[in-house]
Amino acid sequence: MFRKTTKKRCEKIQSLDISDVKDSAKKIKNNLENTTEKTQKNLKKTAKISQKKAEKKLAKNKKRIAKKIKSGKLIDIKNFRKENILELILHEAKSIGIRDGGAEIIAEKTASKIYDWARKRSEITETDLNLKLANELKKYNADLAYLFEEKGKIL
Amino acid sequence: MDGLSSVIGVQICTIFLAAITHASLQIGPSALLLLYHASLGKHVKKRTKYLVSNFILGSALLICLIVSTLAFAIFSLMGQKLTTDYLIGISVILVVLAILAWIFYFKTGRSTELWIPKTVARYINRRANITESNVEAFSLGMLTTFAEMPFSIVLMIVAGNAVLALPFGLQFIAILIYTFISVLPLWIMRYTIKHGRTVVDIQKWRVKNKDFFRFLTGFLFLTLATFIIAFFVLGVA
Repeated sequence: MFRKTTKKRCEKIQSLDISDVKDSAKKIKNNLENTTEKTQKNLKKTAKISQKKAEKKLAKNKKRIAKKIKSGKLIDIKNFRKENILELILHEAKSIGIRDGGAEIIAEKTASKIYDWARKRSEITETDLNLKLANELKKYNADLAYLFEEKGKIL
Repeated sequence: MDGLSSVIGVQICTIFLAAITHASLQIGPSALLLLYHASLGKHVKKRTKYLVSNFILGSALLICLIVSTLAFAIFSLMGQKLTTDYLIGISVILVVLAILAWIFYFKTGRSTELWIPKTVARYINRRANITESNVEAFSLGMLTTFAEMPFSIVLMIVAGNAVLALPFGLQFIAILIYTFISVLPLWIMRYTIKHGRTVVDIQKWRVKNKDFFRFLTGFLFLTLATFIIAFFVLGVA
């Protein structure tokens, strides 16, 4: 039985022409090239789609951040200056009757610390800033710290 | 004559009770405190005083107008006064408001935040921060009264109904008394800040007594409901 099949295979191989083998090899090569081209095209397509999606996501995120900054929930880190913190503390200090000299000293000391803390972060919410300010101001004036703790919680 | 004076007495007591209940509501004092805080940080004390006075006047004017309008509406739509069915409905609403005041009025935590829509709270907060002129302060007072309406409208209906049962000469005085009592906490706050207390002192006091305010508001709503049922529905008087 085994001998019969091997004989048949040998006959087949003998009957094959070299040109046939070359053709089939060419066909296989072409097929391979086509498939690689297709896969490359598909890869390019998926890369494009994912890039577009990423761009969309980035734009959406930017919009969300801009909206949050506009509503006051997020602090705009790019335009965040030490003077802003100084102004904020001085305003609050004035509202509870702390005298200008004292208020300026407290504001100066606190503002530099808060500014250093804020620079290390990529995003800061208003609540974060108020809590940090309250914690720092507790060392100098409890009432002033209380104002920052209670910000947005009166009504 | 005795009957008439007892009727007048009951009506005046109703107006008085409704006004005290209105005065126990917290949106007005909170908004005034915000305005005080924002203004003291920007302006001199005299300017702040004018702004606060205008805020209170705006609030008072709107309360006065609403009570008068409601009294006129009841008079034109219902005849002389509200019928018993309506009064029972109002009593039920007052009981519901009492329960709401006990459970939901203040948010949990150590603050005096109220269960009002966040957008409204933020808007009042923003307006208080940017208020510069007397007109703006006056409008803010009106806006605050308007924001308080879900709780205060029933009280003003009760007061308007009671006003109608009074003799014509007394009606205007009764509306003024209601208005005066309902804005009294604002005047008291203005007086205390003027005499040396700071925004922090008042806020600390409010936070400390938050539970008491909650209880008081609910209790007053319940008392008013009982009063209406006793004197107007069952007709004890």
